[in-house]
Amino acid sequence: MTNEPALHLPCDTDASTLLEELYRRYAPQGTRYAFSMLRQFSDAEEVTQEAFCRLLTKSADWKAEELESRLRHFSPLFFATIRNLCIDVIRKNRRQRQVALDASMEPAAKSDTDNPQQLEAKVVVAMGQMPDQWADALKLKINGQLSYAEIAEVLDATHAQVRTWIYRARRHLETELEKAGITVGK
Amino acid sequence: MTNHFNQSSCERFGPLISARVDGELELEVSKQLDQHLEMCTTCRQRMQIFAEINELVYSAATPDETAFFPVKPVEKRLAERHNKIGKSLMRWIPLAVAASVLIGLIITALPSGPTVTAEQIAMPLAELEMINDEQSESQAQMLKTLEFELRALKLELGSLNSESDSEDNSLEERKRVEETLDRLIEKVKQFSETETNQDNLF
Ligand SMILES: [Zn+2]
Repeated sequence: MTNEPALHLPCDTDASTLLEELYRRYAPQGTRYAFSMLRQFSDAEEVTQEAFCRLLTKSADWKAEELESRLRHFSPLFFATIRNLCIDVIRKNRRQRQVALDASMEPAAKSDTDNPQQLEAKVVVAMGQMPDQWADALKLKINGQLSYAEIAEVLDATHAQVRTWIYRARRHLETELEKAGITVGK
Repeated sequence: MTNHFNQSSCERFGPLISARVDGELELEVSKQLDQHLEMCTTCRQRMQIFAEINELVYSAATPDETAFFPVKPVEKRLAERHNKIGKSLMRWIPLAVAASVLIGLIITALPSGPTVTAEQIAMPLAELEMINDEQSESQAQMLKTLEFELRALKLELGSLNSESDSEDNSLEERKRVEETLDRLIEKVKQFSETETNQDNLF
């Protein structure tokens, strides 16, 4: 979230308890982000849970002095882990997904754009056609609800790059939807 | 109101409009944008378009109308891991992660016949997962199996290397993967040794 909730770390609370609380806070948007990458709800859920489990496992190795900063930066860490897991899944399923994508790219009749599912399919396809960084940044913003600063951490980029990528992603979508005969914002 | 701005001046405001939609626009620039928006229909429209695109992207990431994103308790998943593989074996998981990352690397490093390769390589990992689930197996045995599987992976990679060559780039990549595998095998060995010497590391 843009406004990272205040996190008080009492000395007697262990990392795993805090991590679980953070997980509860971020799991819905994490799952939504994963879904935007994978288009498969069960996979998205799986990946989100796995990301948390991995962080929890890793946390055993965190030194006491780095614990607080790690937990304060939980969301970039969590989303970066989700992102990596999604990339693994995509890689594994690349072939099947290519087939699915090809099918969804078949031109639809213009009247079909009134159908919300058709419209969403267009959005998904247009997102797939833009450079990964643009799509990633936009998904992290809208579906992950991260701030530009957090997205910059996840994507290992600068704040300015994130801003540009998100802008370009929106312009790309605007152009593509227009090409498909879909009018937005009017 | 008529629009008396040229395209390039509006282009300049595009990224600012996008940042405004995200609530990320700095205060100083915010005033400039407001002044421009007051006079420019094109940019006002663009702001509207961007906001609608947000809604579209958001709803495209929703499985269906009734679906929501419940926070499924992960306790079960964690408990399964803890109970089945034992607490000390939790340290193992990063190793499995490293292995799966490597498999990803190998698949990308081999442009020819990736399907067969992926299947061949994924098999040892699947077996590894099964082993993780069987508490009856002793730790030492598991470690040995992991080491064995890594070696098998390396061999597999070697045989694939000899099949397809030519590109310097992919050769370099393969070398890198091999080196990483070596390091991983070394790590497993070290881990195996410390694990037999000490019981309470986790
Ligand atoms: Zn303008």
